[in-house]
Amino acid sequence: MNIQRFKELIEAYGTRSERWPEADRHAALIFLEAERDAVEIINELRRLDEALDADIVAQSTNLKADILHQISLTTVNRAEKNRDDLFSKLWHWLGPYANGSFVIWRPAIAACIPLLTGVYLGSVVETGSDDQLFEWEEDIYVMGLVSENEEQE
Amino acid sequence: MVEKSEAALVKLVARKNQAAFKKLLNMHLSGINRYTVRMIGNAANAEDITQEVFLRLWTRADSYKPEASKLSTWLHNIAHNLCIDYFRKNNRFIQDSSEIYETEESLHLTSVSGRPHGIATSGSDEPEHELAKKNRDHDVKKALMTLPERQRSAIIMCHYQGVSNKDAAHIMEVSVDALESLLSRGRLKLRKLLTEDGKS
Repeated sequence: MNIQRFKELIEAYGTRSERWPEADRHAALIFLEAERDAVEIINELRRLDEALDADIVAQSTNLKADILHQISLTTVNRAEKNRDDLFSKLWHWLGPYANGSFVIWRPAIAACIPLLTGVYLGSVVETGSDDQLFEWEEDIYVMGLVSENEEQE
Repeated sequence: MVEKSEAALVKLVARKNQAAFKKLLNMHLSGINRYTVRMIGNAANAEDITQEVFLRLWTRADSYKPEASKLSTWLHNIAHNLCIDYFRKNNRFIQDSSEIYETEESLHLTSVSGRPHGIATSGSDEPEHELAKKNRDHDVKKALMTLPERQRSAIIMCHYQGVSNKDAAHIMEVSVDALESLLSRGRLKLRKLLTEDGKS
């Protein structure tokens, strides 16, 4: 440490030793104790630090709540965006153009899905049985015969 | 130790843990807000920037590398870049002096002409002394706002925020020597401004 470096240090970081860079602090403090010129430099420049230290920033009371509100909105928006992304990905996958080339099998598969679903449902899901339908038809036929016979008599 | 626990909290924030975010907010909000208010000079715009800093912490926590920098340095870096963007968009670095009065504290003290004229003392026995102090605070704010933004940022980080010279140089993407040069020029200008007014 010499007077030149000490002056540079004070001019850059101010007169408070806690603001001096760690690498220079110890040497600067020893220099300050030993050199009268160093003390004069400190006294000369101290007023600026005092003026700067007097400046206080008032803290907003709502800022924290505003930020927490914002992040909760962001979380909701992100969930909506993810859902939209899923639909748009599916839509793009089903389209005939993928990665700049024409792919016909994807829309073909998309078109077959309702057909395949119908076949599957037709084979699995039970609707009313044919026997039951036949029984009804038979009853109506018998009732018809009976009423016809009654008329003839 | 603190850095390790902060890194753990940031990891939780990356997984959208709001409790962890709240803890980090409590730890860093006032510091970052002080930086943006001093940089921008207008409390409302500065708060918008502070909000954006913490929204980025929420949305981009996974990009924070604890081995590369302290969380405080990372947040100051974001704040510094947002302030620089703000000045670019608004195409100015000298704050309109009328806006400097726009703090909750100073609104009580400002006359229509823009000069402080009264005092809202809180039990103080020395209103003149209090008024002189307020005037000096205002002069410091005004003087800071006349500095070029890089000199202002360097002084705010090193003087007020307790950011180390290496971290400040890293944030401003300059060498430590260049940072010292910014600080010296900035402080010299402040000294001239404040001494010319006879207030320091």
